[in-house]
Amino acid sequence: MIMQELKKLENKSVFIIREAKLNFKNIAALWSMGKDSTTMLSLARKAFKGKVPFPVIHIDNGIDFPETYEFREELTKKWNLDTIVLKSKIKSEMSGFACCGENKTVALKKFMNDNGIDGLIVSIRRDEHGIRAKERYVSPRNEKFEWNYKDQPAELWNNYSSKLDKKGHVRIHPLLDWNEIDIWNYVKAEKVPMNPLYFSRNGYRYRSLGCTHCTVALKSEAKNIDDIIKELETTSAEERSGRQQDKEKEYVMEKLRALGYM
Amino acid sequence: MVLGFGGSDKRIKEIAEQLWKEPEEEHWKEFSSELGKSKIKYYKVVFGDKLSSEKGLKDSWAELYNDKYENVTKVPIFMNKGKQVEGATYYLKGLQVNNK
Repeated sequence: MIMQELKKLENKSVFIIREAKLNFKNIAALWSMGKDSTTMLSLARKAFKGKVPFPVIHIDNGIDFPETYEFREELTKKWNLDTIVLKSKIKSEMSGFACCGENKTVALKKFMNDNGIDGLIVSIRRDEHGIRAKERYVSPRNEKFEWNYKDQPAELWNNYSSKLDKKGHVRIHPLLDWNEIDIWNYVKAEKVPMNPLYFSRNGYRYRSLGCTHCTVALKSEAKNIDDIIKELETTSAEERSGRQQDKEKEYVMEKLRALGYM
Repeated sequence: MVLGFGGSDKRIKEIAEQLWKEPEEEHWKEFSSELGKSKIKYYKVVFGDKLSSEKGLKDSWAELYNDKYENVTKVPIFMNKGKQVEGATYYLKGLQVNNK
């Protein structure tokens, strides 16, 4: 039963990734070395016979976990990825988080404009956050990277709009229907390599990964994928409860996403 | 390179002191190469409430521990790159976060 459901999700995601590659001139994907974007890369490899046929972008603020950097280098080599590291600046003065949000968007904007990227694959899921639940599979952004969530194209009968706003780009979200347990079931079934920070050591693990300053480890004894799935089936804690930016007021995330944040 | 028991850790402490004075990329590269030879296994990033400015980054550091979870030294987590200040946790690669 689980495998049937996973197969359905996989088929739809592979279809969306293939359609994106076919319909846009120049696509790229964001890769944070977390479970979702790594699963997306595994799906892309499946969609294109073992090779991810587009560049993968890591927006690096310089204070990610050392384990995350190590994982990036290992998987880049193992899967022969075209990994592009974009350095985002820590702002000298800022209210809010100087390492995240708008700063990361600035580095991404520059890269996309310089390289004519018209489609960007982002591995968000609807169940992660209220504002992400408002997303479409194929979601237009204007020239300024802004997202008007009140005016989005309908996606009826699996028809997706690839129309571009003038000089804008389109975000493609192939994992929108997946939930956290689906991801872990898939990681287990497909033996997707995973960042070691997700697994418990000395009674703590990370459930959602950001940088060293905004991510807090949660108490957990889940040392392997089976343990993680069991834990998720019974937990009432939110997935991003260890992420500082989500502890800000709800509308902050909404505002950040409207301005182009992931 | 200082030979003998704890030799590499002594060198790491020397470079760590150097990093506090001059957090330049070349010192970070030297630190990274010495890290693999040392007994340091774990790190813990220490910071204020949230990273709201470049100053916040400069006021943060990483504590380094050996395999017995004994504190060996601490290093800043930024580097000067020209006129820019950048995060430098990349150079702690090979260590594991201290969950103790």
